[in-house]
Amino acid sequence: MGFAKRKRKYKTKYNLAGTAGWIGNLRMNMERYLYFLHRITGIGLVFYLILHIIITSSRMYGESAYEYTHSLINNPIADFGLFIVMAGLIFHGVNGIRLILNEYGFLLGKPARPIYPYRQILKTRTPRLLILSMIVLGFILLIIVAYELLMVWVF
Amino acid sequence: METIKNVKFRIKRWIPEDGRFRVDTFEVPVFKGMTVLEGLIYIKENLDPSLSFRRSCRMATCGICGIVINGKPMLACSTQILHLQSDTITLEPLKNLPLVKDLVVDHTPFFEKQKTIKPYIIRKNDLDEYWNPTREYKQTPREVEEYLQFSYCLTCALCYAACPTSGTNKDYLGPQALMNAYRFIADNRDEGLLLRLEIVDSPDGCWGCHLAGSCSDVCPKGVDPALAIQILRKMVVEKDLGYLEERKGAQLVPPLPYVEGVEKVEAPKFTVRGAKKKAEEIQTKYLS
Ligand code: HEM
Ligand code: SF4
Ligand code: SF4
Repeated sequence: MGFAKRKRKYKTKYNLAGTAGWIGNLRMNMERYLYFLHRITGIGLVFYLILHIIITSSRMYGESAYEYTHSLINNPIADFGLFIVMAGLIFHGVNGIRLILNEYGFLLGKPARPIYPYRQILKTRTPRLLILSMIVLGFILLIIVAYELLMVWVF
Repeated sequence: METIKNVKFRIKRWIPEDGRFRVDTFEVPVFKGMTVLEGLIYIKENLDPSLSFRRSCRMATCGICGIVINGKPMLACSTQILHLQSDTITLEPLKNLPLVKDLVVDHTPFFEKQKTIKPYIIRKNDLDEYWNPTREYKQTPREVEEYLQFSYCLTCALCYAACPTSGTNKDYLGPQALMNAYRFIADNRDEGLLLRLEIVDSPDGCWGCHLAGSCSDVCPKGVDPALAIQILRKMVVEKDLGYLEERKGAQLVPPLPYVEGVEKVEAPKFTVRGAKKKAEEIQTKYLS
């Protein structure tokens, strides 16, 4: 009497990091950022693909409609946009090659005897050299693309 | 001990009565070598006895004091405050697990996932020996090294809290469970290769990993789950292409020669009541 137990309700929550957790934390590893960029460029490319299909499908409404839509994107600003898309595609492509290799266990290395300070395979030489060579390959491709696009407007 | 400076602890606490977070700030005098866990104990003893957090061994062995420190999952016991090099440190409960109170989370889903990959040696043939062991199985130092790195795991769930896939997919087995599947596959005493590969061969298994590598980055024991998962993936492909066969588990070592005057030592008995029955149940359930 008078001591009736107070009914307590304790709430809980599945504390999922969600999509905000894709990017991680500034003190996290390099591959986490490559992962994030890969995902963002992949999604960006899907949007570009949709836009691309819309633009080229204007050909269905006759040659003049096709020419009209092309006159809209025939300017340096649109080509700069194209350069950004190409940069995204190049990153996605070269990083994709790295992922395909590493995710099937190639150029990664073997488990080792755990001795302190512990080794992380992604921070050893081969995977890091792979990233470096992908960066070099990416820059070469990017310069070629920039040159091709500049040719249109400068010369 | 001599105080070097005062550090602010900004603690994001889960308040179970209200169902929301509350941020509390405490000022902690820090001495050289003081760990974040010692800071939390200082707060509980001197500033706020209602603060909840988990710890047991305080020496990176039990793996229960994992919390998010300045945005990165770490063990509170093996992180020194001065090494963080900031005057304010933020603490949060581990991500991707259900919250209980303050910094305490419920590890159950994490352990359940480890269970699904059958984290024990599976034998198919010599079951009599398996249940009533007489001798050891043969294992060279080289064969131990195949899995030793992965057997260091504390089940602290730091990797699980850091993984971006676990953050969006509740059913993803997670770095620890997948790594543990490989730990047993790589053990030469084990005969559960195909069984485990079948379990991990799914979008919620090894195909959910995107090589963000954060699991290996935060692991306090150098277990390197990211490596194990990529090897697992390679094995699944090899199995599907048909050139990976069930390995025969290691054989027993030869019996020791009889030595005059030395008594035979009995194998240790099961120490937990009902453990033997339970173990046999599991074995018959999964192997039949
Ligand atoms: C240049 C050739 C390409 C290569 C080598 C490539 C490679 C890859 C790889 C390996 C992945 C899996 C990454 C992971 O495991 O996390 C991936 C994901 C993805 N790709 Fe590509 N890709 C290419 C082109 C494209 C294009 C043209 C598009 C868009 C139309 C695209 C859209 C995506 C998307 C949306 C994802 C999912 C992102 C994620 O899960 O993080 N990719 N790509
Ligand atoms: S490497 Fe794979 S399992 Fe590890 S954190 Fe990244 S996505 Fe998760
Ligand atoms: S693999 Fe490392 S981070 Fe993950 S639970 Fe085990 S010890 Fe903790």
